[in-house]
Amino acid sequence: MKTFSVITEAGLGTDAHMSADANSGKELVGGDNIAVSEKAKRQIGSQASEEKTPANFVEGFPEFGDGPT
Amino acid sequence: MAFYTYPQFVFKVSKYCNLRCDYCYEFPHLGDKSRMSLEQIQAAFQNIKSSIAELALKGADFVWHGGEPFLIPIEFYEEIDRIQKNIFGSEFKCVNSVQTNLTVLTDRHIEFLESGFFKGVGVSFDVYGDQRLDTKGRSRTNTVRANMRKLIDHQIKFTAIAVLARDSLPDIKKIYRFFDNLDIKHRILAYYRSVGSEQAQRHGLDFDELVGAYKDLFHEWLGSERATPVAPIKDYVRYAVRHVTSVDNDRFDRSSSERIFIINVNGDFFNLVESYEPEFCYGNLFDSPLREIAKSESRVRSITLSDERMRRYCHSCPYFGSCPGVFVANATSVERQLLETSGCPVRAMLDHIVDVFKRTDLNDYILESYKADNGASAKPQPVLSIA
Repeated sequence: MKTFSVITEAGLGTDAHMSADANSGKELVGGDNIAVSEKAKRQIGSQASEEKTPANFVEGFPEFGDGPT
Repeated sequence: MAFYTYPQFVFKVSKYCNLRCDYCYEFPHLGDKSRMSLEQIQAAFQNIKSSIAELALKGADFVWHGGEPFLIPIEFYEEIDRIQKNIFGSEFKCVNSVQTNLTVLTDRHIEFLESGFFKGVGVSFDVYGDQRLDTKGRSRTNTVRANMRKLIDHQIKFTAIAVLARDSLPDIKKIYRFFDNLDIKHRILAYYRSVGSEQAQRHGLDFDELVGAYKDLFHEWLGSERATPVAPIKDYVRYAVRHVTSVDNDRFDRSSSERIFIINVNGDFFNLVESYEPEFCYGNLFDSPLREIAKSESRVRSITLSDERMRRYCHSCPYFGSCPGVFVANATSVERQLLETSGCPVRAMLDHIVDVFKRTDLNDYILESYKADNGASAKPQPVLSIA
């Protein structure tokens, strides 16, 4: 996990920073300007052959909802 | 009736909380300091232990939940650790996790988290929306951010849950970017349980708002170079991929796969669907063996109602089998109202995701990936209408 010096409201920095960041490294696919990143695409590809997990199993999460905290 | 072999028990240790989030389904009880005693927790463990053989249990998850579980002294959890090891030994796998608002995080907490008793730490944090107020009405957002930083600095891994309700709806994209920038896996949890119609009016989302927010979330994830997984979008993408590849053999059956149970402060045992509704209480885990609770009449009744809902909404759905139907099966009263008035939001999301696959090169990519890994050709799906 990465560490950062300050966690601001926007995560790392300002919205402007994130906007520039979010637009880098994307691949535009198709005629509708739908942005698809390489990493999202790889995740989709790997899911095509993924082993089934129990239907209500969400890996890595305390599954139950938020509760009162 | 069958029982899932690796259940998850959500222990509501106490309802007491230092926050007063207006959307909270525990809101009327947040000032109540009563909590489970160690003797009661020991009895609950024994009532699980005595049922291991009959229910063929392989292990269990224990989620320590509240209220705010970090308002309880750490020594309490150290005792739970000791009792758990005494009762279950090393053969039976117990995995403990905690769901916290992270407003309280002392060096003692850090030390205990580093000890590894809690294998999972879930942080409840909306990032935006200003709902996380303390008893004096002050926002605790900055405290949570500072404490997240502490966890990161100590290399304590955590996931997060943000509530999607009326106040956070306009900021759904920014909420995803916040967690995505920090590489934190998270879950966007739509308001799903109310303590009354007035609260539901203030915080509940209608169908279009909910599906619109999920679509925004899907596109934020799809376009992100980090693409940090976010539930429930991760699940919906998986269902859509299965649909494209004609994998349709996953149908949720609560009678064998019901996995998550809530243990209230007084030991009453509930499902996720009708939590706290007395007529659906399965029994009391402080007083009764789990094997008896698993056979309760209220459990049979609740599962029958789930089956009826699935027949109504899932059996004619083109995605059923690719989508297991968990949303419909486990729909709370808030979610059932949404189903009744507007249909299934998951189906609407799958219409959208499958359409995006078709409008990009993703559909072909999925089929190629599937063929490469399975050595068989997938059947193409007919065109579906867009929600």
